[in-house]
Amino acid sequence: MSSLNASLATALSGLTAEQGALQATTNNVANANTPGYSREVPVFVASAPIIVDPLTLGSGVTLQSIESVRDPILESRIQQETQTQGQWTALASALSQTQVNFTSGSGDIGSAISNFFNSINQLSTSPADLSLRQGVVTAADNLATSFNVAANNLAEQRTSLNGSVEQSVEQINQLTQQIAKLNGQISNLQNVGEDAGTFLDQRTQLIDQLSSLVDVSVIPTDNTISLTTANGTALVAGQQSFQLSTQPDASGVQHIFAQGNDITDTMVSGQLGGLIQARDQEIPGIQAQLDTLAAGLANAVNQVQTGGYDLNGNPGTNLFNAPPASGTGAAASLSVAITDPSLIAASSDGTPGSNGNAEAMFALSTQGLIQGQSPTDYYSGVVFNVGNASANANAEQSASAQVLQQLNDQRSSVSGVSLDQEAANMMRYQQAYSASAQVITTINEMMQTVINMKTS
Amino acid sequence: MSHQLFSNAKFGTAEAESGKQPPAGPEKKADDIAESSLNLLRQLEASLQASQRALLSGDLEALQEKTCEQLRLQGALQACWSQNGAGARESNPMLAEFAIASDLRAAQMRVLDLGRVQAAILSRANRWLTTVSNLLAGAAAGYSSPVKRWTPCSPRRSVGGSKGVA
Repeated sequence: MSSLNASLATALSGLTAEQGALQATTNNVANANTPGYSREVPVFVASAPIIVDPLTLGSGVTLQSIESVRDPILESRIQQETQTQGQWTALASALSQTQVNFTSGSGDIGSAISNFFNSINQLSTSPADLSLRQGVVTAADNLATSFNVAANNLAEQRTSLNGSVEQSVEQINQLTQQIAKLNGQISNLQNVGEDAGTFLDQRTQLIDQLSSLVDVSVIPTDNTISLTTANGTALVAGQQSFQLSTQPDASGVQHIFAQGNDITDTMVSGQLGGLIQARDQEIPGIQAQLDTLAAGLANAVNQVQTGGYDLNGNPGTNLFNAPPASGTGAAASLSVAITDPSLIAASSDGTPGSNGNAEAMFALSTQGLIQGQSPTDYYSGVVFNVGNASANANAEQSASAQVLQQLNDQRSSVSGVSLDQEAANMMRYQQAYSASAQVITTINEMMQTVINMKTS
Repeated sequence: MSHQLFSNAKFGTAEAESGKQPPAGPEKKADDIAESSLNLLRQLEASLQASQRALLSGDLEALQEKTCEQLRLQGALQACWSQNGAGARESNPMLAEFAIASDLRAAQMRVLDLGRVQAAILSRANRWLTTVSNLLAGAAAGYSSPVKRWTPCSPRRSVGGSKGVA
């Protein structure tokens, strides 16, 4: 009788285990289209045998656990590439906006430089003509305005990026809080030997989201993980998250702080890294080039202007208000100093008919005024640099998208649900369940036989 | 493949070089340069797309084959332009008047963009290979990449005619 009971227990263990396995399959099928879901597989182990001397009898099966199928290295690669994509997406977007300032058109700096020198060239043909003189003043004013507009647009873009940095930090804080909370839930389940697959999937998705914002390193520890930035700043340690904060410096630029330390310069990847690169490196670099051009051009024109004579025979005065000595802010502040067209110093000898100084001023258009380059060539270089940086950022973004697609496909093949495979598993578990049930029926009949033997 | 490479290109062919064709005027010559360049650029574009797919799918054999093909196409383009002056450049005023000048410029931009993307994907693949090779090398390994440098293509191999590296 005891051996029949043991057989019954063994058959019951089979029923229970197959039922659990079927539950895993059911869950897989239900989540076949759930983003980030990792398929679950049942882990069967043979139960500890019973030793009935001299026999060692098997005692059935135990469903030890239901495990989610994951490839940690693949997930790490996805997170790394997500960071890279975040960085280049932010940078490409910023540079695309920057590029608008340098698009050829009637109001761009390149056209304004050409128009200015053309107006001087025209004036040299008839230096006493007031309408041509007015044309020079207007063209100078347009030139200054085009520099002002471009510089202001770049400054506004930096302000906008500043706001984006703050938003990114808020998003990072929200995500790290959620990840820390999930760490706690995962630990609690794993400590009692339960499967935390669902929470692990949620955490993986949140880490992916966090990776798109900031350069994250995932450090696994016992039943939990810690997250740091690439330079080691703690973001999450187990169930505790460490908040980042932003503080503006004297110029209004938002810096990022972690536990009192300024970590702005260490942000090199993720959306935040891209935003900071655009805000603190790319755009200031373009601003500096525009300042160099504006200051170089204004100083050269002023030098020639003050070396000549105006229509009244007086020594010339500055055409442009003198730019700052350092050159910083020259593009934003460039302005025309004179409104009276007769003050244009076209004459080289003080006579109204002289065009010597106008020709000298026109000659500036081809002279290497700015770092050995003519104003037009230098500006072309600026436009090329912006276009090149933008094209590179777009190419990097495209490469990241392709690599990520490939990695996600790989993750799907490892962790994704195959409905065909699940259908096969379902049949397998169903058959095993039926077989165990048949064993129970047989044992029942055997027991009935034994009982009938006693009563008969 | 090598034959196919030049079959539609009027430059670099034995026929063109032997001087059997009647002398063409400057316009005809520029038109030929433009057509040849466009043809080579389109082949280069297709080759770059194929090598990107090979790189992403980890098909190293195809990647090497396509890289060799690209080197030869690049050489053919340089030969096409250098043998005929700087004629094929879109900035050439003679070419700018031809109908395919805009096609040529667009093809150049597409090749440039594809080249940039290819470089970016290659740098990622290189980074990953370095990581893996350092992992496999164990704790005794230094930080320098143990990955061997790529063996250059043989300059005389026909385009796409064989697999692997000489």
